[in-house]
Amino acid sequence: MTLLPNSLRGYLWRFSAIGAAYLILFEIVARTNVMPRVMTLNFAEWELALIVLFLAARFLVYLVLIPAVVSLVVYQVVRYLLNLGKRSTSPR
Amino acid sequence: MLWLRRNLLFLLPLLAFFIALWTIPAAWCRRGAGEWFGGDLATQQQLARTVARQILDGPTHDTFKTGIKRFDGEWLFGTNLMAGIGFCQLVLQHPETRAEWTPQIESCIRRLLTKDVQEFDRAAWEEGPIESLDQPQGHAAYLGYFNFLLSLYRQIDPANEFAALNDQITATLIRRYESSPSGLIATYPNEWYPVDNAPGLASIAITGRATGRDYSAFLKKAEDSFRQHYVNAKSGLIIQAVNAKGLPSDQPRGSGSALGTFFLYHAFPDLGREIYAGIQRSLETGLFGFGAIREYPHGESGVWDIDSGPVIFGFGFSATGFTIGPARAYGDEALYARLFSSAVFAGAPSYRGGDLDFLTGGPLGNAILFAMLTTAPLP
Repeated sequence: MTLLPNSLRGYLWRFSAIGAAYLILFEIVARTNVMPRVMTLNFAEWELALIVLFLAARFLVYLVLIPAVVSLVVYQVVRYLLNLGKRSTSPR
Repeated sequence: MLWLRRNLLFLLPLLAFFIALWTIPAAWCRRGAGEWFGGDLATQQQLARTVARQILDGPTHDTFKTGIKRFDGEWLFGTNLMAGIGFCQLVLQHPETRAEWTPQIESCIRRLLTKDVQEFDRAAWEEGPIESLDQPQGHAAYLGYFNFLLSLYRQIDPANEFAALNDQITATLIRRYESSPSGLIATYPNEWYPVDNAPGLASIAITGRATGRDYSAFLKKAEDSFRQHYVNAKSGLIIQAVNAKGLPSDQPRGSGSALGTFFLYHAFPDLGREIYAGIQRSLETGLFGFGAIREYPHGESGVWDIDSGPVIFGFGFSATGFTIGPARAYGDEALYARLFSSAVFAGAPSYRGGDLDFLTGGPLGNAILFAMLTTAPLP
């Protein structure tokens, strides 16, 4: 981790936190078995709130977080390569 | 040079974001689709065990709260029916598992015969579907679907304890179809849905094959009538609802076409293939690499209801799930895999203890996906 640039490290920590929160939500949904009740329209308000949160987190992780991690890695690689070029062509 | 550097630093990560969005999530959700499509027994049994457990828990009318008693009853019926169909398909593809899953099949059939499960049909017709077999009323909501399950079980065990009932219902269905001017039997009083006639017609064909009886003349006439009157020529889709004269009272739609094809291919493989081609042509779509089936044809829109399930941006939940079955029946591995990835994404599968449970599906969703994912390929 210490080999990574500070900015990348900061983002990865945040993404990891969101991913971990999603996994915790997944476990809660699986263990409490609330989803079948919501799907059969037979639920309490807190169960619906939990499901909405879970689905929002699932969408966030799959459709935002994963592409964002890839994007971030590409950003760091491009920045590194551009800086390499900048150093090699700059006058002494 | 500075301009290029600044823009590269912005454009390449942006490009990477969209490439990742269109490839990684769908590819991740598609893992395992090959095993399902190939009929891997261990994979199928992961979901079979969950469905068996959930059926054993015995969903009742109180399990479902759609707000309308008939729909609660339909969902209870559908849960037991789809579970039974899934178990039959599993055994038909893996005969060595017959001893293991036959008790589950019989359990589903017995549940479907209880007054509690039959109540949605009895309340509508004011007579029980089995007690009134000698009467002229349609009962397509119950009889066609139930007899489809009985006919699949007949293929597994021709002398099973429900064989006589299968013969009785088959004879009743043929009699009612032959006396119907529209070629359809009613789902409920004054309600005709071509899709609800698909399992009944399929059950007659399967029972004929299982018993060696020749229903070919009846089936040929039924196929011609269905193709001519209930398949929309432009879209290639099944018309969702018709009136007493057999004239359209609703649009051709994805949910009815997909579920209809799931049953019809057993009786009319060519007609099923035509409707499947209509689904591909008029409804197939996708987003971010996930496959989806529209409820209404491209360029058209409409409301969503109990049949379509949620329709979001035109994508129909029921139509998407129900097309998985026909995709496997007709050997369309590419669409099967794309729809599988959508089912996984929306279904949130959990693999606790080696059993597969689609968390967002509940007993009904798991039973439907079990039936669709294990649909038998056409020989």
